[in-house]
Amino acid sequence: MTIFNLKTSIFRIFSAFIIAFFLLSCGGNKQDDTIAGDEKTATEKESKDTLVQSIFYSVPSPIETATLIQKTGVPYNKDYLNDINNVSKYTTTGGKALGLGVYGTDLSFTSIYDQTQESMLYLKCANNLSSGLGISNAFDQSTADRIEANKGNKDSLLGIISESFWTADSYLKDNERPGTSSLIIAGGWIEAVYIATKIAESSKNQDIVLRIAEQKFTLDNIVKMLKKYDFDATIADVYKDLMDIKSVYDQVTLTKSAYSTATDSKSGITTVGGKNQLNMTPEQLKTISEKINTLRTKITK
Amino acid sequence: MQRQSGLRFTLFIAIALVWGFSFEASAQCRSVAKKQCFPQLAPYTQNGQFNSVRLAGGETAEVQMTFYAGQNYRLMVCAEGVLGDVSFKVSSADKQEIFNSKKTDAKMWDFNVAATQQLIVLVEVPPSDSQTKIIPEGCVSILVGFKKL
Repeated sequence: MTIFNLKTSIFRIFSAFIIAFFLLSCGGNKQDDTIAGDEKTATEKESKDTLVQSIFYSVPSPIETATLIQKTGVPYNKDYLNDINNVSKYTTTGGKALGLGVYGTDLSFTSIYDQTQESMLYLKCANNLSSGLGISNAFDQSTADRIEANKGNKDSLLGIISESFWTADSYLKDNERPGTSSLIIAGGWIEAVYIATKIAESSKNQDIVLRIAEQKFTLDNIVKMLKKYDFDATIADVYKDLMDIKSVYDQVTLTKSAYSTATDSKSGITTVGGKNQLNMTPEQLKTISEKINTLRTKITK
Repeated sequence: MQRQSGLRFTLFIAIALVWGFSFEASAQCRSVAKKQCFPQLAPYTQNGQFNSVRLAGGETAEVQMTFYAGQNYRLMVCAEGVLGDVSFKVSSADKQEIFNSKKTDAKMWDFNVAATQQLIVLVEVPPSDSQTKIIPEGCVSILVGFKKL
């Protein structure tokens, strides 16, 4: 290489750095990790209206829901969970994402109820689908090894499964696929509510019925989350079905009372008071159960 | 001809650099959340969702989420030091303020709710006092952990 060529190459690389610097500084200083392409337009509009740069919708994890259901004392019933043989039926990206949500919830339930052998089977299903979505290290062999090693230690098990969900969620959001992430969340929610309605049908447990009524709030966040990405056909379809269920939840009335807060000086934990009362009629519960059953059948068969 | 290929080479390097920097910035938020923030959530179990965003001085982000009665929660905002003292406040769905970290100087809030409800978390980055035109930008993660009451 002559000195002239070397100088030219250095000049070109230096120019590339200058151009890159300008592109990075002129392209807007907001690199919203969770929003990609067309999705960004919707949020930017929302941001202008509210003066908030980024709005997220977050829902409780299936592990949380499973924990609360187990706390009511209802026994484990594997018949309510998705058949592991259905795993091969999920062929599209949207189908795999919904399936991963469903199996993720089933994995949470089997773990909460100490069904380690079945947890391993559901973990395999979750691994199969997450690999199909291009997510590595989420529900893989090392997760299986850790679950095996922590058998009997529920807190550790829940931590391991939560970490897997987080790995999948953060991978998808980092790779500008938040729509896929929202489908996993929707699939997980549908499965959790399906299981809860089945338990309510057989046990008539009023604590479970209250947990189903409380899904009014979570569903509200899920539909807002999906709405951001409804340019995708699968998301639009799930959104439509969930809006149909939401129309029933909209009739579930909420009686609010004044807020109060009190902090325990020993634990430092604040209790947010106020007894909000949800009133769901047996007819509303029946309609929600039927609609959830139909939607769950649609996404698992 | 040689000039054209030189221009293409320069543009290719520039685009690769832009893509590389953007991806690095995004992956950095994940890394910051996992390494710096997760340990502080213990003994609470994190809820499996990644809510993170890059913000600059004076900017805000909001998370709307459901909290169940019967659980204890830890809400934590984790931000890169370059952003200064990032604060957060928690309001009810009808915008009644319930908690403001500025009043307690806390980076996290442990709480439970008597009745299941939606809460809104608003995160605020203090305005930048930088004298230069380059405004510092950094990752802000909003984490939620839960444990049995």
